[in-house]
Amino acid sequence: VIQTFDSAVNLLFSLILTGLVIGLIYGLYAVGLALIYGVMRIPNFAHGEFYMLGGYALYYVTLLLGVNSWVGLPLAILIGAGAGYLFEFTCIRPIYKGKVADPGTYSTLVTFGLLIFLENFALLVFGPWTVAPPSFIPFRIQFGIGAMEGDRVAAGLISLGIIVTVYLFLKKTWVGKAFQATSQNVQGAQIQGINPATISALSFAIASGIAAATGALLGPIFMVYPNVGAVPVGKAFTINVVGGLGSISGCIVAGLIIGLVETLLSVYVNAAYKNLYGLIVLVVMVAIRPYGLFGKSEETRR
Amino acid sequence: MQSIAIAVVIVVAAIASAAIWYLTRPVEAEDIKIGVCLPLSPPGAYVVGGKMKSAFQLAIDQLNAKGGLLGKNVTAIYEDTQASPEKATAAATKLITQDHVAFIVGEAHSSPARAISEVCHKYNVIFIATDVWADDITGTHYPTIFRIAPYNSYMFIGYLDAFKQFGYKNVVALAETTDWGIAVDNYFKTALPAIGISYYSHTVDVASTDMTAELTEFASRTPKPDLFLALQTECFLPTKQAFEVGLSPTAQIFAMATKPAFPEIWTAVGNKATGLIFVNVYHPKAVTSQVGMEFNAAFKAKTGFDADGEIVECMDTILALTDAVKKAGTINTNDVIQALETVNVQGSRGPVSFTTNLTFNNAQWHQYMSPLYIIQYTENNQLYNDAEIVYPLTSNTTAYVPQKNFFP
Repeated sequence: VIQTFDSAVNLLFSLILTGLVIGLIYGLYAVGLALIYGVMRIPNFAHGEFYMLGGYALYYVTLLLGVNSWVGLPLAILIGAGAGYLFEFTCIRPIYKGKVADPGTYSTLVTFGLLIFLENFALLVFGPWTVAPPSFIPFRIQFGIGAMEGDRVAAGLISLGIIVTVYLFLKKTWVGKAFQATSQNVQGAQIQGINPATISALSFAIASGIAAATGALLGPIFMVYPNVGAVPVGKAFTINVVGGLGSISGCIVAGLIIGLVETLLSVYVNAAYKNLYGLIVLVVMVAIRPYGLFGKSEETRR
Repeated sequence: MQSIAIAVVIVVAAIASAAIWYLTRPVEAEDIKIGVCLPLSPPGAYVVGGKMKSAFQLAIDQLNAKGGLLGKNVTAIYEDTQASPEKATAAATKLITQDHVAFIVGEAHSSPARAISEVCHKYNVIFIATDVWADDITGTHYPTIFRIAPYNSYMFIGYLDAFKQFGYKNVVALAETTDWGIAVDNYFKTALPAIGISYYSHTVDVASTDMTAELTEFASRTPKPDLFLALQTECFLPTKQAFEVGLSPTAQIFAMATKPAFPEIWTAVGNKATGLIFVNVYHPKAVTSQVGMEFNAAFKAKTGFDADGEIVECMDTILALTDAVKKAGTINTNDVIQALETVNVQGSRGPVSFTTNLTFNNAQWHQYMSPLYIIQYTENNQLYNDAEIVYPLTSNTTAYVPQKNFFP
């Protein structure tokens, strides 16, 4: 089996297209994590489990209510956001009530605990079986000399839409500015009448809703099973570090870079090291610019 | 406030006491204990592990219902290896040194099985590997190691013949980065060109979920590949994605794993599984053993699932072991090894015995020569029991039909 010049050009085009779309999806993986870290300075290790919940939510909503995936998507987002709010209310809120001596350690442990709980919860309730929600667009779409599965196109475009919406929400709305104020200085925000507990709850609900949206969008592509969140959460942390912790713009750019690097190198170098390529990007970034592409050093923050 | 604190302390103390009692409760002193190592949680193949656990327990329950072994009850102690050699080493060591099991059985991943075989060799404990294929598990020729599942080098011979029979010329493959995946990939790299079949492959991380880049490259090659080998235990995603990039159904998908036997394949990949071919060591259409049919009916009644290859391998493992212990009249390792070497008991697919003649890469050691079938789904939403055997040609139930013919 060999490749002709024409097929090599077509392949390169298809791979760039694939890399860009997966990059946008990676960006969406990372946005929820960036939001929580950016606002609350909490690394949510259970982010991937909200992704998993979103996938299951879409599957069961479409199955039980008999609706299509377009109708099921907002419901899945609401379920994810509700679960995030519940988690924040029960486990994160004590930080803002002064009941936790070391918030950093506490939040790390409690989100790790949630990761283990939710994964086993899914195993117990949904079973170990792999399921796939119905497609959003059940056919391939032609782009010039390349073509792509409709579900990936839908996921890429909706990802872009969600990321832009989150960005505008943070920059243009009063609540978004309250998020930024809390991120910069909790006490200062409180003096201005902002309740950090409310901001914490909102950021968790929105971030979990975004994670659930990602899981629902990708459910028809990558399927859903109890530990499906393991890969996305790893990517999300890598992208956050490369893009700059807490930066939404950084999530998009870093997601696209890692998506393209992984896709191209896995074909032209070696597919076995696909996950390594993202980590190489991360190591290079940490060496050159430790606070990431769009991140700010602690000094600048102050 | 103080009363709440006291109540909390009492509840915690009660739970702790119950836990301590449970963990230290005396197991029947006369029980014969069998350690069962399985992947029961991620990243192991926990679906397979869970079903195998049910099968082992059923086989042991049936044994106890018939009076046990040497007049004693048999107890299984399960350990989760999570497909990890490190965890498997710890599990086997714990089973032998703390639980004092007489034998160890199980596993569905080669790497942890290899680790268990080292521990069992060190402590002189018999290990019957149940559903693992890597040559070197028995290739070490350790006296205490036996295997019920087939092994790679033996299976390769069948595959090559099947490829010739089915007329493939251009083969592409995705191989997972495990002992098994790399071994199969390396074998085909030399064996297929030697019989005039071109072969091109990528190795992918075992946890990989997106293989579209590699599959897109396969689809772009000229002449078009006519066979795509998914050398991956988790073969649903590559099956689905091969269709999505346009590689299949032009290229027949051959999932070189047993997972497609699970009915969940239809909810996971939809009609893309129609025409799929895959391997298994058991199919009800080829079974004439009364023992096998009865066990399969009991398994279905217990779990609601039809038996597949892994399930009957668990049963055959327990049957061979118990027959050997009865023959030896003791659980002494060296005596049971001798008995296992000459065992000949009716199993789920026919007589079970272990042969040693060191053919096929020197790996045929204490080896049950398991049957091996290539199965094809010939209809959408077909149950495994209704699927057809297309190879070997001596026991096929229908002729092989290329997958593209199912998608006019």
